[in-house]
Amino acid sequence: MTTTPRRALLSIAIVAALAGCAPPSVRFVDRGILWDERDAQPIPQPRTRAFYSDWVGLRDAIFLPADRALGLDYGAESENPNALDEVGDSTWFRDPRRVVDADGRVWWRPLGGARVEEGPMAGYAHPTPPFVVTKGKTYGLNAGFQVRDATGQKWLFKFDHAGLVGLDTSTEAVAARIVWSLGWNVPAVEICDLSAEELRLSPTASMTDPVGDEVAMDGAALAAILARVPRLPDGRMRALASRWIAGHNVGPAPFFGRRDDDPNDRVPHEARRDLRGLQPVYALINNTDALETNTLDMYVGRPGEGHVVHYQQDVGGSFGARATGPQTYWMGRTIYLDPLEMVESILTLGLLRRSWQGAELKTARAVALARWPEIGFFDVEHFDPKEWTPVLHNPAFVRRTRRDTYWGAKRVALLEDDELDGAVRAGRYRPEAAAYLSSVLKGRRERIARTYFAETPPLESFAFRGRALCFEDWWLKRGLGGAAATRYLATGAVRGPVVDEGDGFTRCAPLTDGRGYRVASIAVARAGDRAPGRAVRVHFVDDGVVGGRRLIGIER
Amino acid sequence: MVCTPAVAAEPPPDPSRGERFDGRRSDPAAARREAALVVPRLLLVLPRLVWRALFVPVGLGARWFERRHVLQRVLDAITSRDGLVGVRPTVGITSGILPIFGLSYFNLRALGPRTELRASLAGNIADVVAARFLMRPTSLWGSAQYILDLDYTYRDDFVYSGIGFEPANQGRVGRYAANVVDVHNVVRLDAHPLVSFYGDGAFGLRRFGNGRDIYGVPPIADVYCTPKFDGRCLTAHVSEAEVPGFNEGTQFLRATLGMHVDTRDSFSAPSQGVALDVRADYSHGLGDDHSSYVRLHGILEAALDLWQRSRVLVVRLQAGTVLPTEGSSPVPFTELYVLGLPELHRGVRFGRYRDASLFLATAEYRWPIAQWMDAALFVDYGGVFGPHFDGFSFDKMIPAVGGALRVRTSQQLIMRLQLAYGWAGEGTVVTFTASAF
Repeated sequence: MTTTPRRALLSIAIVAALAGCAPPSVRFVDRGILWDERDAQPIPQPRTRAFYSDWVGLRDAIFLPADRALGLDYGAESENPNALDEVGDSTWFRDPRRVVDADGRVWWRPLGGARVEEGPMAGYAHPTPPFVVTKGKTYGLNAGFQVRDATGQKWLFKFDHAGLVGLDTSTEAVAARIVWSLGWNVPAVEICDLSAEELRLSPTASMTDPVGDEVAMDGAALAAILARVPRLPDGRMRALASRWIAGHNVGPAPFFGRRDDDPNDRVPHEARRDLRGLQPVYALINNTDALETNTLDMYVGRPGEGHVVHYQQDVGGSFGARATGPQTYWMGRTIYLDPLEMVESILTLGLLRRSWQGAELKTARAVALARWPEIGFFDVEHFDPKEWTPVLHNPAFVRRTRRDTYWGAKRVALLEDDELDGAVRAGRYRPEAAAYLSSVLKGRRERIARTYFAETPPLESFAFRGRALCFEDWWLKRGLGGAAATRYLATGAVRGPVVDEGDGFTRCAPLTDGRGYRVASIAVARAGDRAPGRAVRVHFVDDGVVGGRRLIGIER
Repeated sequence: MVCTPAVAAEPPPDPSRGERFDGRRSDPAAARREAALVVPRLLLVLPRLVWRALFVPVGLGARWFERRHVLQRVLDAITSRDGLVGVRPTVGITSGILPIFGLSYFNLRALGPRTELRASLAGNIADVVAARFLMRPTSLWGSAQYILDLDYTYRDDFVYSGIGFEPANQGRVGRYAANVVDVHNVVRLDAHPLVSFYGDGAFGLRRFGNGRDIYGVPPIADVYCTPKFDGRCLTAHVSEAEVPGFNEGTQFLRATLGMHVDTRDSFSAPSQGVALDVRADYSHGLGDDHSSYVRLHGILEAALDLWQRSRVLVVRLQAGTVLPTEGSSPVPFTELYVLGLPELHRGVRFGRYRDASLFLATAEYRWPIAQWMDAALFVDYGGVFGPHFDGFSFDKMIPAVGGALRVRTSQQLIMRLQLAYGWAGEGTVVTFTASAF
């Protein structure tokens, strides 16, 4: 026996002794698990709030970080996870993969590539020409307008910048599908290649100029917009068709605060796990534009009978794209204005190196842009999941705890290869670009899983089988390696060897005798670990008979 | 094995009734944590309230501005749609002289692609006017380029403290007024991607007058006066012996020839490479100005890449001398080397130390502190000496250290804040500039 395994065993023994003696740190209540937040109760229509980009930037860069520091607002856990450390369905998030069995076991089913390719467009008709242009696009930075198609359906058409076919349109089509497939509300979008002949100008069409004045939109104005749109080789234009969202627009869905005129909005947004845990998802797709201005609250239903649904309405600032063109080299690595980082850099005379600094990164971006103009600078090599950030401090993201991040990383790990391929197909890329984008997404997915699953043991889908507590080890399920070297430490209500169920990632630990409120603790040591890490504690009520065990809480 | 689902003792929690989402009655760990923070938070209540109170008006103002698109309207008003033509504010604040405020205009398309047309007008209500016009049209002859640069400045706060490095002079500081006109016609010939030659046919005109008492520095006529027979000053008359060229002014034609060798990767923010610039000019006074002189000047700069073109050390040496030709009257005092300009020793106040020769060594370490902002630490070490470097001595060299922040905006505006401390007994020199140039 070499020194390292001996030390590991000793550590395991010490931890086991300590864990066996320790009282449960948390005590759950024997009650049903909350899988529906019930936040769609009828409410009066809230007032419409305005979108402010400059103010939000100033607030998120300077005011909120300082206010948070003065309020010592650090380390608080999110408020809406249920007893299993999961998040129930709500008007913010609805997990399309989750299945809760009759015996309480939670598992996630794949959606499949075809369903992800269809994405949020499922159940909707595709945009049908001719398209009557009713209004010039009033916000955002790329060209576009509102249209009504032959079936009467209203759409927002957005276009790419000159020379960059697909950079904005294809990116949003793909990113929206990924975000949708993981449970967040996004508009139904799809790529629509159209010719100028398929467009008609409504005689009442209008547009808003850059300073907010409403002006008539004539043929010349439409032609001016179209003149900026890059053409496909066959002369058509690539548009991102975004289906008009049902309901009444009541403004942004901020990552901070609550709507005081929405009684359903009970949890401060910065304390919502489904917003904090969006960070790893946005890190996957590099949505550096995760700002309040790219969210949307829609009041759905008749006044007085409806409720607010919260959307991540514009996820097009993803991959290497930004509404103004390609993302610059620093995006995803730092924010526009970080006074603390600046002071640190000054005081250390530049000895602290930042990941956004250096010529190598700029060179890599230039190479990527030349090779993949429709994707931009989006790779695995320069991706650090923990460091990743939108271009401004996101009040929810910065408050995320280890548990929140694990929850988000778990969502990312749910994406199957064929689902990512399906999402990428919706972008209608040239084949080599599609293959590259798929490979980068898979690489980033693995990096996220590897980073956060190392911090929190990814043990999921707990269930009682006979006299054993079984679970899936997602490190192994995701193929992150080291199966042979993985060791489990089962303590508390479980003892003895943890056995492989044969599929390579399901493990079962024998239960000890006992009745009443019980806690099973399982820790994992991977290859190279000198001791088991953090344990997952499974709380259950044991009536002492088969079928008489109820999972009532999970502590991570 | 088939399991019979166990039934929970209570239904799921109902958050609409204020119940916790995880169904627990309370969270003792969180409560303990909050309790531990009560006292520190109480101690921070006041600064937090002040901070929040500060942000109320800021927020109201920012939202008002944004609702009315004030920034957009201003930018639209001062910039063309393609961003190539516009007007920007100009600010120049330097210790010891009056601040100037104005506007600079740029047009990067009027003269063709990759050209410049720039103009600025700045001043101060207290009699300062600085105007500049720069034109760099499209090259007409392949590798040859023409540049027209017109400068006009009127200030009455210029500083004069004698010629030569004489500490005694530093007690004799006076302000003078000057009208300064410079017209440069530069033709540059790119002989090689790294080597260019240039020639400049320039005209200059200066007219001087008495200055004003500003920041405790009296008018020059009170300090460098022409004494009467009784030893008292002749009213508003400056001693020509001490301030050569002051009373009649100067006007001259100047021909310059120079060579520039440059292997640096960037002109404005080099991170590696070497640049050498050597030039010689001959100036010939016109009219009543009987001065004629040759000036020789050289600059050698090396940029050393310390890390990935992000941490850079720039070392620069420059030397120059003014040599009167035979039979020339004294070289006008404004055409000598003067320390204290931004490019010539940052730790010395504007206008101090003037003489016929210059030697200056600088080292500047530069690093980024944000994507749009650099910081720099620098050391300047230099002085002025007599013709042919007569009297050169390290004792006459003034060391200075300083730091600077430079902000690069995407809107044709560069801002620089600089603080330097020089061992010349003048304290800290602060400079802030903002301009489209």
